[in-house]
Amino acid sequence: MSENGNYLLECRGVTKRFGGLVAVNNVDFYIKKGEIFGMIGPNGSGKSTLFNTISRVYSADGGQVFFNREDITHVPPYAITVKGLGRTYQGSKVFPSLSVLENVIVGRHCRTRSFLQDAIFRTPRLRREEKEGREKALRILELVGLADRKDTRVADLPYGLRSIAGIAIALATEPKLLMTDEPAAGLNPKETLTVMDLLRKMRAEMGITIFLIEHNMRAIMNTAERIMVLNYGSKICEGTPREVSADEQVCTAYLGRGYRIQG
Amino acid sequence: MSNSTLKKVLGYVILIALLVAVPLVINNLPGRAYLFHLLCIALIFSILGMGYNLTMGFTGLSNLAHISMFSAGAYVSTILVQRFDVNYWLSFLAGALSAVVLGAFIGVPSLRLRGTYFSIITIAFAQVVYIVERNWFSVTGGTDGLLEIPNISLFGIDFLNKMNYAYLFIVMAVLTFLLVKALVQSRVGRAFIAIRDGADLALTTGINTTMYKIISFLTGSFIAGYAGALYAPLMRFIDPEDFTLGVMLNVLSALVIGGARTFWGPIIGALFIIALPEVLIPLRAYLFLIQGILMVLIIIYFPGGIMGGVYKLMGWWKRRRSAGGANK
Ligand SMILES: Nc1ncnc2c1ncn2[C@@H]1O[C@H](COP(=O)(O)OP(=O)(O)OP(=O)(O)O)[C@@H](O)[C@H]1O
Ligand SMILES: [Mg+2]
Repeated sequence: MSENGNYLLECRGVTKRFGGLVAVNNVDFYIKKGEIFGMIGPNGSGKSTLFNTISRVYSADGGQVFFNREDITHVPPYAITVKGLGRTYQGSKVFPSLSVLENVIVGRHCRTRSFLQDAIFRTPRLRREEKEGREKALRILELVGLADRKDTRVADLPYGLRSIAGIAIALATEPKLLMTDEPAAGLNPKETLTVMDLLRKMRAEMGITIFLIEHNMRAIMNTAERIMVLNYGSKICEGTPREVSADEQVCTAYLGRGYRIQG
Repeated sequence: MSNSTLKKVLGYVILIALLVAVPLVINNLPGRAYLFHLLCIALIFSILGMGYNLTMGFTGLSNLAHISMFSAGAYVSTILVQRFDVNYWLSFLAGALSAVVLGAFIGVPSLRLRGTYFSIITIAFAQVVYIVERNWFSVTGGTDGLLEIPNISLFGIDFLNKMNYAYLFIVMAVLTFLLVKALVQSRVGRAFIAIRDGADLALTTGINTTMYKIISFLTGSFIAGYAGALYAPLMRFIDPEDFTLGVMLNVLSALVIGGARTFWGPIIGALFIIALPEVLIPLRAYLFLIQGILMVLIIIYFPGGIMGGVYKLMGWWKRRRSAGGANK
C-alpha cells in the first residue's frame, strides 16, 4: 500500500530487461491525482518501455506498480484499463479499418456488457448499450474536435488527426489516468498546440490525470507541472520544468548546453 | 431518408424472390439433379466460408484447421444416426457441438501463438485429425469412409428430391448470414475487428483478447460443425479425402476471392469456386493453374476480393454522384 492517498500512480523499483539490455532500470516515481506529469529522455532511454510495463503490455522484471493504491503489477492489461488506466501508443495506434466513430465505440468495450446472446437476439440491453455508446462516443468526438469526421475510416485521416483519434479511443475507456506517448510527434506547431490544449481541457473538464511523454520541449515544459527525465533506463532527474531544465546532468544527456525554457 | 429505406426493402424482396425462384428454375432445367448438387455444395461451402470469415476474416486468425471442425460435424452426426439411431436433427446439433469441443482442443493451445506460428500449428492439428479419421477404422470406417448415409427427413418429408435440400440449405445459409452479421455488428464483433486491427491496442483498450479470440474460433467451429452435419446426408457418403488440407485451401481461396471481411464475400467466393471447374470443363487439365493465377491476380488487384472491389466501386460511384449533386 502506498502511504500517500493522493498518489494515483506509483512505481517502485520498476525494471524491464530485454536480454542483456536494461531498458528500464529500477525506476521510482509517483503521480498525484489531477496533475500533468511529463517524461522526457533521449531516444531509446526507455520511456515507451516504461509505459508498456506499467500498462502490462510487458511484464516487469522487477519492482511494483500501484494504481489508486492497488498493486497492479500482475493484473492483466485489459483489467488495468477497467480500473481506469488508459493509454495511447507512440505512432498513434488506432483501429485503421474502422470509422472514427466505431473506433471510439470500441473504446467503450470495457464499459459495456452485451455478449453473444444479446447480439443474436438483439436484446434490450444491446439496444440500450448501442444507443448510449453512440451518444457517448459522439460527445467524446465533439470534445476532441473530430465530430465532423466521424464516418471517415481512421486509416484515411491525416496523421495529425489520427493522434487525436488515438486519444479519443483512450478517453472512451473512461480513464482516471491517461498515459499518452508522444501525441505531438510529427505534428506541426499549430496541431501540437491543439493537442496540448486538449490534454489540459481533459484535466480541467473531466478531472483526468495526465502522464505525458513528449520530445517537443516547449510543448512539454508549458504543459506539465512536474517532469522526470530518463537516461539509459534510469531516472536522472525530477522536478518542475524550471528545475529540470536547470539540471546539469539533464543538459548533458539531453537538452544540450545552453538550453533555456522558451515561451 | 425514406427513399433509402424503400430501396432496402425492395432489395430484400428481390433477394427473397430470387432465393425462392432459383431452385424452381433449376427444377425445370435438363440435368437438374447435377445442378442441384452443385448448388447444394456451393451453399454448404458458403456456410463453411461464413464461419471461416468470422475467425480468418473479421478476427484475423489465419486458422487452417477449419476443415477439421467441418469433418467433426460430418462424422459425429453420421455416426449418431447410423450406429445409435439418433434423430437427424439431434445429431445435427451434436455434430455442431462436437465441432466446438474439437475447436476448443485445437484453438485454446494454438491461440497462444501469433501469426504464422498459429497457422502452422493449426495445420499440424488438422493433419492429426485427418490421420485419426483415416486410421480409426472401427469408428470412422478408415479410408473406406461411411457409406449409405440416410437422407434427411423433416416433418415427415423424405429429402429424395434434391430440391428440398436446396431449400433447406438456402434457409441454413440465410440463418448463418444473419448470425454472422448480428455478431459482427455487435460489441463482440467489434472486439474481433479490434483484435485484427491491433492486438496490443485492443488489449489496453480493455478487451480480453485471448477470450475473444477463443470465442471467435469456437463460433467459427460451431458453424463449420453444422455445415458438416448438412454435408454428410447430401453426399450420402463421406471419407477422409473430403476433409484434406487441399479442401481447406479451397475454402481459403473462396474466401479470398469472394472477399474476406465482407458479409457477401464467402457466398460469392463459394459460388465462384464451385462454378469455376464447370465453366472450365474444356480446360479441366489446367484448372488448378487457372485457379492459382486468378487468385494471384485478385490478391494483387483486388485485395478485398470480389466484394471488396464491388464496395469500392459503389463508394466511388456514390462520391461521384454526390459531388455531381453539389455542383448543380
Ligand atoms: N520489444 C523490444 N525488444 C527488445 N528491445 C527493445 C524492445 N522495445 C524496446 N527495446 C529497446 O529498449 C530500449 C528502450 O526503448 P524505448 O522504445 O522504450 O525508448 P524510448 O525512450 O521510448 O525512445 P523514443 O524516444 O525513441 O521513443 C531501446 O534500446 C530499444 O531498442
Ligand atoms: Mg518511445
